[in-house]
Amino acid sequence: MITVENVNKSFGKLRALQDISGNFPKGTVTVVCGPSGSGKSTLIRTLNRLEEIDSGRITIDGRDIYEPNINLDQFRMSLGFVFQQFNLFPHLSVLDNITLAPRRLKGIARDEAEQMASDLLRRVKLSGKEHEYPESLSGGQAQRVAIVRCLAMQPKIMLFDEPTSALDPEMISEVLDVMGDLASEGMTMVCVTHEMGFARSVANSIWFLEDGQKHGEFPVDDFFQGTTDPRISLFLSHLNRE
Amino acid sequence: MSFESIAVLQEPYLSWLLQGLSLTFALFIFSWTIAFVLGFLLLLMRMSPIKVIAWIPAAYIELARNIPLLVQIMFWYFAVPMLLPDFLQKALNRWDSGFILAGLALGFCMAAYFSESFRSGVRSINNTQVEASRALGFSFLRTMQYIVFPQALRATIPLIMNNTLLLFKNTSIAMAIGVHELMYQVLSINNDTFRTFEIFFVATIVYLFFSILIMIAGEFAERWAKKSRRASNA
Amino acid sequence: MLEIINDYWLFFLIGQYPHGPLGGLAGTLLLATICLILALPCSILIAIGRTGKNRFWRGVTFVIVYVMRGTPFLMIIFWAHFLGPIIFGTSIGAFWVMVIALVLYESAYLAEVIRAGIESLPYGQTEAAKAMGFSRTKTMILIVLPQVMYNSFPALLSQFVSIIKETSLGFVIGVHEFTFAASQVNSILLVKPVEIYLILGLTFFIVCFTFTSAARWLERRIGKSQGVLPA
Ligand SMILES: Nc1ncnc2c1ncn2[C@@H]1O[C@H](COP(=O)(O)OP(=O)(O)OP(=O)(O)O)[C@@H](O)[C@H]1O
Ligand SMILES: [Mg+2]
Repeated sequence: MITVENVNKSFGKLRALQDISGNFPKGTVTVVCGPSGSGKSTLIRTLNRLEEIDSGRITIDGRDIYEPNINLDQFRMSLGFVFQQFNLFPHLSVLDNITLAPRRLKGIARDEAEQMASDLLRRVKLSGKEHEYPESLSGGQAQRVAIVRCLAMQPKIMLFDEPTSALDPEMISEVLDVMGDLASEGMTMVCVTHEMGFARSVANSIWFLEDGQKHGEFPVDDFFQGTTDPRISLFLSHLNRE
Repeated sequence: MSFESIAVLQEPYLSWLLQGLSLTFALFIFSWTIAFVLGFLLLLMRMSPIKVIAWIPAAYIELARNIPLLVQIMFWYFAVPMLLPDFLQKALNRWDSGFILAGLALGFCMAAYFSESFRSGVRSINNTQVEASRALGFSFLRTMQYIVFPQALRATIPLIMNNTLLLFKNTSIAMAIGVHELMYQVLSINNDTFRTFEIFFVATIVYLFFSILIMIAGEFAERWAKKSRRASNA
Repeated sequence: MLEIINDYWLFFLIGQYPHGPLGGLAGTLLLATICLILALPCSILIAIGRTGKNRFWRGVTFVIVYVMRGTPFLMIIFWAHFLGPIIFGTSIGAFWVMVIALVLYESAYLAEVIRAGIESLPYGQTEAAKAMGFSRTKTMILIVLPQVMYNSFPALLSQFVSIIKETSLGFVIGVHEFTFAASQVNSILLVKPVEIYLILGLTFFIVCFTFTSAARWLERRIGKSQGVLPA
């Protein structure tokens, strides 16, 4: 489980995160939403230290991830991070994209790693794509490969930063389905997303950010049924209009 | 025109030519290796977060690229030995000092060009690639090894092949300090036979032949790289 | 080193002039400038041939460019040295031999710069001109080339640096230029090669680096003003 305590982060004068606190409990799915520029990406990126915080504390399973003698690479191996733009490695085949980290970081034998990769690909309905290169995949396929690339490291927690915003509408559901499956298997997940349908059916709680501040944390049902906060109503009505 | 009718392709001139050609090759391989390795080291230094260390290769690259190669070769040949301690000077003279110094001059000069090519390759790689790799748990060095350099190499192949061609042609400048490479031998044969047109023609064809080989190799390498390259997969 | 500069600065600067041909650094810059002025029109013609529709001229210019790119510059110099007197019927002097060699060689390289400029120009420009009734020649001269020359200016300036550096190879056929002057001083003094070649190299550096920096500065400006990246 992840605990965030009084986290602050500025880019120059801009205060991207202000005094953020909260928990992401084990085995739950938390959706983080809010308008553009509200600090969602910044927040999720601090959780695996792609972005460094200025002050505050972040602990994962009780361990402070900013303690000086932490092995950062070791720690990151236990978190999966899925990017908006997939960020597959274009010079490696699908199979190599998936097996590179298990083989090089965990020393798993090639056969075993490839077997595992094939199994995972089957689970996301991408059997047969092993030897293709990222450029020949559709966006939805690429994002599923990116998810599998993380899963191959058997992470304890998965972080998603707008995994479907770069996708054409007809591909969004194939990625959300995979994420839903993961959730039902009990994965701890933090998802930045605007997919309110996904939030409604999968998430346990929802964080709402605006201007770097956290404007509350809601059980899913409350969030959609009559929150009194006018900012959230406004945000939701904007989403619905799109 | 058959081979037999070309006087400059008879003995002893044929052997002169072949000796020149083999020395040209030796010079080419010697200096190419230096240029590649040193170019890579310069790149590593340049990527260092410590300002002073990054500044040294930058300054060296400017120097090497803004001074004529002939002047650099002359500096290595006439000036550098004077700066060396005695025993190294003696060692140099025991070997073929012209060849070694010309090779070093070529290699050191072209290293600047190689390094710039490598760097433009590295810069063509989106930072998100580094992020994705770090997020998986790869260290900075391993990220370079598995993600950045392989892609940079692919992006940089046309530039490197261009540099290689330039280096090959520039080996001829070593004749100015008396290295008996192909161009030098061609002039010797000319002095001996006065068959200027013939020997120049033969030499030009030989140079062109190998240049075109390098260009074709470059073309193939580029195609291979294209198979698995895309600047970003956004 | 200061002593050498003090004694020989004029010789470094202009060679034996007026008791001989203009040489030294002035000779180098004169040679490079003449070459650029003569090579530029040739290279534009080659570039037009390379990008044009006429198969014959495409073939001819292709061969010219690739032969020049595949042959060492020294080889071209020796060819010019050998053929110059035959073609002109009389000895034309090392300086003009070098001019011919440089123009031949650099036309090919400059042509590639200009070709890249032509090819990177949005096709809409040509189409718009056509639609307004310009002939192909007029489109080229009035619409395409002015833009290409403007966009390629930084790249052409960088190529000028290459030309300056290449003039030093005139040394091998005895052209009076900067490198030649330095070696003459070297053979007079004999024991000061380190100082002399340092002076030679650093002076070249100052001259070339000035143009290189100017080219970079222009590239940034032009890139910004046009939104077009030079080749
Ligand atoms: N590396 C950076 N340097 C400077 N400013 C940054 C940086 N990254 C983010 N910001 C700024 O911090 C603020 C929060 O950015 P963030 O990317 O976290 O927003 P977001 O909620 O993810 O928005 P979006 O929905 O557009 O992705 C924005 O104003 C952004 O411009
Ligand atoms: Mg974001």
